[in-house]
Amino acid sequence: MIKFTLGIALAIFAIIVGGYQYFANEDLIVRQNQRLLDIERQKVDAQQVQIRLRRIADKLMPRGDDQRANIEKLLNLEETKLTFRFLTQANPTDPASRYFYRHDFEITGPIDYFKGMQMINKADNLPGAVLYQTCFNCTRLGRGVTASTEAGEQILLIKGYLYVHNPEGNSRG
Amino acid sequence: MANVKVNINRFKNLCFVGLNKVEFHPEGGDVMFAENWMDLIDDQARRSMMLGFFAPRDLSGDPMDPEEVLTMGQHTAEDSTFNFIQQVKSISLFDFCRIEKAAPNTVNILVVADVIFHWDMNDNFVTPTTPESWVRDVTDIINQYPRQTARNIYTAWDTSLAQEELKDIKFHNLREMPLDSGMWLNMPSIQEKYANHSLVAGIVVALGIYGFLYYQSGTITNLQRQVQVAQQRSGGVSDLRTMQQKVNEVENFQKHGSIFSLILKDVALAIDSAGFAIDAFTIENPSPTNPADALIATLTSKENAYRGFAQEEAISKAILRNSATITAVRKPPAPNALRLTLEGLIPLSDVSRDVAEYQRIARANQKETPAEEAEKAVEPPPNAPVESATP
Repeated sequence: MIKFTLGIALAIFAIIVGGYQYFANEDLIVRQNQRLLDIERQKVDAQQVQIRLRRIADKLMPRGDDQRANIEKLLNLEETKLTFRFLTQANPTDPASRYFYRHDFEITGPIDYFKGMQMINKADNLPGAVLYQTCFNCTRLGRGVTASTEAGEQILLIKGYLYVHNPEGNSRG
Repeated sequence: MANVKVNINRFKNLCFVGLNKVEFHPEGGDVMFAENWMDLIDDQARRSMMLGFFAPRDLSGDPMDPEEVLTMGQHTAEDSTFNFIQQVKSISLFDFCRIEKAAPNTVNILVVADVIFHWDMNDNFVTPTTPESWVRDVTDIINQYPRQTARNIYTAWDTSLAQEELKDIKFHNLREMPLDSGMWLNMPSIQEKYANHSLVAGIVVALGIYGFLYYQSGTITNLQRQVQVAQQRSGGVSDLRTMQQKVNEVENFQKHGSIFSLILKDVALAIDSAGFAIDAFTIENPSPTNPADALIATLTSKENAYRGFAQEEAISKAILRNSATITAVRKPPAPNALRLTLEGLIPLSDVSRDVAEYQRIARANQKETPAEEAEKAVEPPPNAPVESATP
């Protein structure tokens, strides 16, 4: 009687515990397979992103070149009365700025129409620059800028983003 | 509970306890007789043995105690009951006096040990006999029944001579004796019968499940290792989402790159061509935090340059006509009523498409132009001197 009960109890216990463990393990196997697929998918995605990264990195300003003096030199601002300013300063050490970061910049000051057009063209073709506002004969100057216009000159305001690429972040990825 | 038939052949050894004699049929051996069944049976024989006995009812109608019958009245000590239980523990005990009644008009006779046991549709009876007198005793019993009664004898004794005298009787081997569960005093219950099977099955099931789970856990470990290896190989894809967002952001902002100055020139030319009395103009992304789909050109005239709808309508149309990039013009509510303010919509996707088309045509023209120049270089000019004319 005890043997019979023990045998039945053992079988039932084994079936219940085993069944529960079986489904738990099956769930784990499905999750691990899914995770494996996700990692493979991420790997492919990462490769594609790397390709895109390399493609757009050439159009951006390399890290270290995003210095005010360097940009003023690139735009030949010494020959004009225009002023270049960074409106926001990105933190290159921020983990979110591992691959790219951007500055807001502003170029403002009195200039004649022809040189103003040239300046806009130069700013638009500056590596990593994305202009979002230009204004001729603006009534509003940049913050803290005071300027007096001479004959034939108007106030020019150029605003945009300067995207900077961090090659070290790219190599780490 | 209804009695069920029990096959006598399930027992390898048969032992019948008579009144003063025991008949033992060992498996594959000769029949043995003795006075006490315990003298005949060893431990080996007990394992699959039927011990048949005849325990007639006492005066109150209750069956006699099997112990009393099987010990043949020899037990007196108090501990003998315990010994008896130990002796018969593994033996199947059959009390023939509890046999089911025979079919109507039938009498069955069992001749074993020193007993003739017969039963009919009413009752069963035990009669002492000897090997010498059993035929006569059987004849006496049969004579008590009508001639039409069916008669069966179950015995292992020599019936060669008896068959001549007992012509109307059907002789059967002892192994054909019908048994039923009502006779079986210590018939094992299902739990007792299948106890070992159940235990073995339980252990087998538990081991099987353990084995399967062990195999499954091996698969899981293998998968986990694969995941670890894949993670190590994939390296720093943990911040893939951030990386994708950044790349998307840069790509979207760079999508219409380097056409800002072109748009500015177009709007400036349109202002000039339309003769708009310009005071200031702005071109901007209305939502600078997001990549632009369209730019807005805001043109502000000099004070009192345009008065009334007719003049404003005409100059607006002229601006629209002379610009290749502005697709729509509207007059927003202006803070200064003395100045005309116009807003032009510049869809960047259209401009980008037109610029790309223009660049394609320009590149094609650049390829054709050197080829034409090369052809012209090969052809001699009409007024070129003839070579043969030279000295």
